[in-house]
Amino acid sequence: MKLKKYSFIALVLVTGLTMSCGGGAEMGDANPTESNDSALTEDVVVSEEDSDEPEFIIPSALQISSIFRSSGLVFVDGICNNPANTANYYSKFEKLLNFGAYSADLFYCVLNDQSQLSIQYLKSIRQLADETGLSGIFNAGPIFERFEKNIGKQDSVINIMLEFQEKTDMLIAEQNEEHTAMIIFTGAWVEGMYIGLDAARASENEMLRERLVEQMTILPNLIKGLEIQPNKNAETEGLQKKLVEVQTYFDSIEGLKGDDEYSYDISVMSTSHFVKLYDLMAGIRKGITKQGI
Amino acid sequence: MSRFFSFLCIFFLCLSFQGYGQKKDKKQSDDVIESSLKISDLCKREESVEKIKADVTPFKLDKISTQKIHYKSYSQVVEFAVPIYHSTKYKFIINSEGMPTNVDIRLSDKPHKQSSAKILKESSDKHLSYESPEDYSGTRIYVTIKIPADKEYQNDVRNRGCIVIGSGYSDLDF
Repeated sequence: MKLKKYSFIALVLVTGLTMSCGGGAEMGDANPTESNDSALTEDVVVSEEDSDEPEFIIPSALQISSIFRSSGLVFVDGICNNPANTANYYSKFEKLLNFGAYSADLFYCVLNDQSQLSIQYLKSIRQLADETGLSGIFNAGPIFERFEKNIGKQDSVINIMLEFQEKTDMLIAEQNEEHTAMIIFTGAWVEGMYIGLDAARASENEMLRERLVEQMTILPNLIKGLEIQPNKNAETEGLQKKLVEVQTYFDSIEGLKGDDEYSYDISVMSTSHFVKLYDLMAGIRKGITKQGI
Repeated sequence: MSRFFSFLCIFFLCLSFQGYGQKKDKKQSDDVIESSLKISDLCKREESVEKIKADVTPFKLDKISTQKIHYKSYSQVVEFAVPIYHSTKYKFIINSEGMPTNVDIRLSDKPHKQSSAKILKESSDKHLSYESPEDYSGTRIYVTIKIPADKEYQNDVRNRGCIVIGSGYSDLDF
C-alpha cells in the first residue's frame, strides 16, 4: 500500500515537472533551421558570433591523406576499417564517426589505386549518409555512378572526391548541422592518424613523422569541437576524454613544444613516442570502428 | 501524513498548469515577433563557389567553406582560423559578394587580438585572393572580418549574408 502511494506521488511529480519544463523540441532546439526566424534563433546566433576565439575551419580529409601519401605512406592491405562493419553502427554519433573513418579509407585507397576497395568504401559511405540524413550528397548528382565509370583514372576520381567533399559540406551548411561536420572529421582524422602512425612506428621515415606531428596541432580543435556539441552524451564525452589523453601525452614529451603554440622540435621524437601515440590512437580507433572487437 | 501527500500532489499539479500557461503565452509572443520581422538573405553561395573555383587555378582546390553572417545593431568582428601545413603552398580566396554591405577583411599569422599578429593582407574587396609565402612558418592563417552595424536593425529588418572562403594548394604528389 505504501509502495502504491509513493508510486502515485512519483507519477504526479514527474507529470508536473514534465509539463512545467516542456518538451525539448519546443523549448531549446540547439540547431534552429534558417527558416525558423524566431527571437530564440537570433539569440543562438549572437552567442556563436560574439565568441572571442576564432572559429576553426575544418580541414580537408582528402588533403591530409594526400600529404601522408606524398610523405611516403604506402598502402597496407587490411589496415582500413572493413566495409562489412557498416551494419555494426547504431547511434547517429557512431554512424557519423564512421562516415568520416570510411571517407579517410576511401581517400587512402583512391590515392593508392585500390579501385575495387574504393567502390566498397563509397558504398559504405552512401549507406551511412542515408542513415544520418545526408542522402542528399548522393541524390544531388550521380556521384556514385561517375565514380564507378572513372575508376582507374586517378585525376578524375580525385575530382569526384573533391565534389563529394564539397557536397557534404554544402548539405551540412544548408541543414544548419555544422557541428556534425566536426564529428565526421574526427572520425576521418583518427582513421588517417591510425594508418599514418602504424607506418611511422615501424619505419624511420622522418618526412612522414613530421607530417604526423604537424597534424597534432589540429587535436585541440577536435577536442573543443566535441565539447561544444549540442547533444552531448556519454559517447561524445567518452571519445573526448580519450582524445584528451592523447593530447596530454603529446604535451608531456620533453622538449617537443617550441616557442609558440604550434611549433615543435621534431628531433626529440623517438620511435618509442610514435609507438605510444599509435597505441593510444589504435585504442580510440577500435572504439570508433569496432574493428577487432 | 496522507493529508500532507494530498497537499503536495495538488501543489505540483497547480505549478505544472501555471508553467504550461506561461509557456503557451511565450510561444504566442514569439510568433508575433517572428511575423513582424523582415528577413533578407543575400547569400549567393553557388555563384561565389563558381568564382572561387575559377580563381583557384593553378592551385588544386582543397576546401570551400561557407560562413553565414547575421547582421546586428552593432558592428561585429568575426575571425576564422584556417589550418595549413608546412609542406604545402596555399592560395586563399575570400568572396563576400553574398553580403549586403562591404566588409573589411584582414589576413594575419596570429589571432587579431594578439599584439604580435602580423598582417598578411588587408582589403575590403568583395573578391580577395592571397597566396601564402613559401617560408611561412605558422600552422594557421587567421581571417578576420569586420561587419558594420545594420542601420535597418531597429526597423525590424534582419539582414543576412555569407562569406565563402576557398583554399587551394600545390606541391603535392597528385
